[in-house]
Amino acid sequence: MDKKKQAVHADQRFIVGLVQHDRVVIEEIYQRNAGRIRSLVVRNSGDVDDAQDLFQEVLMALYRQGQDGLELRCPFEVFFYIACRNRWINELKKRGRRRVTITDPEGFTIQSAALPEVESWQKREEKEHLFYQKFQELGPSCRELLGLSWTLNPDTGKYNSLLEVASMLDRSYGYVRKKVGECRARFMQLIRESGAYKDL
Amino acid sequence: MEDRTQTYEAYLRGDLSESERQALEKSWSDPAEKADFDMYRAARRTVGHRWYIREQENDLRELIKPLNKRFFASAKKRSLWQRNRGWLRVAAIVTLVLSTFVVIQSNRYDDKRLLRTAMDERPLSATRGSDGLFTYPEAMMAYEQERWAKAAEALELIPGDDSVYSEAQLHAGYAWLHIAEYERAAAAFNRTLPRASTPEQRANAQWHLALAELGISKDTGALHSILEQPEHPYYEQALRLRKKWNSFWR
Repeated sequence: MDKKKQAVHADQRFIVGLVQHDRVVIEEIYQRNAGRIRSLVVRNSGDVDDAQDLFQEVLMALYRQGQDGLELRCPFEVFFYIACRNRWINELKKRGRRRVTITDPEGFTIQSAALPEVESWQKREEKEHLFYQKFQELGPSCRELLGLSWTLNPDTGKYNSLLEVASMLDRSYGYVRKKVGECRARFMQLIRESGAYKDL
Repeated sequence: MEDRTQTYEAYLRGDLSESERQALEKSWSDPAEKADFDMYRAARRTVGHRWYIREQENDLRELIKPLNKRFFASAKKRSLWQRNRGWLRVAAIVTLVLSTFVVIQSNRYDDKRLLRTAMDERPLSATRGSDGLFTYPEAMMAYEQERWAKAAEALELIPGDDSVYSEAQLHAGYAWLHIAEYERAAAAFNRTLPRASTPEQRANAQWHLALAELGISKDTGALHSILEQPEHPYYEQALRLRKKWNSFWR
């Protein structure tokens, strides 16, 4: 356990600051990284709006993973840059670019040791992105029912029971039980039917 | 594959009986069954987590809005320049060249225009008789109607012994100057000079002779003559004309 703790990089403070909504830390993340990401995107067929979207989405992904216990084992700047770079390559492919060759900003070297860590993180992030995307395709009542029934109750440390969900929504237990079953099946059907899931 | 989410859900909540649990776990020897269960567990975990943090996520998005503006929106102006730097440079050069051309053209002296604007035509009073009518109505009407060639030719026909001869020659010279017939104009002014009726008329004829000579061959003999006489009535005008005539813009 101690060995694992030692392996966590000092830049983990950025993840912690992000999770805690620490303004100073978040501003430091922008100061250190925004220019580089802007340069990456603008030099590679994008504009400043694309750079802003990319930066924000990777930051939010890091926030979610940070909430879920992400531990950095390489410098934050390297991790963040590679994550943005890979995501931008995917975006360019989606936009119909057959061959994507990325020009990296001057004076920045990608540390190859960090690549597997970022790629593993990214694979997980892509999978979760797909799950949540399919979840968003459900109707609002399904989303609410599944969201509540799959959320850990912070007081008990257990998932909300269907009885508790029925009480929260002021619905009968029978209705909630039937509806949750339908929504769950629909949700999994959407994921299974997705071509993207097979590629992940 | 049948929908087994109810069984998966009960398993994850610990609601299956021991035999049901064992049966499910046994089914995982089939990799497809195991993958289906893993997918369900991962999807369920993702949704539960994101549902739980959705409000905090929205708060964070609000928190970073001003930072996005500060670190990205401010770069948009620069980026516009950077992305179009080549084209903007070309446009700037073209604009500069065009505006230089326009400035040169608007400042450029056209010889004929310069000479025409330097003219100092005197009234035609001497060509009127005591009854106030023109002595040579055909010539004078043509002159007033700015039919310059017609007027000049008619004025030149006035005989040398006529009292209005010098003024007629002067105005013939004016008419030729108007249509840039400089040699004929110079001849008319040369005829005026020895017969000038007043010193003013003589000075006026000298001045216009200088203009005609400039028009003919750029010979500035008459102009130099005026410039050598500071007391000459057209001395100042001659100085200005010489400056313009020798100007870069001409």
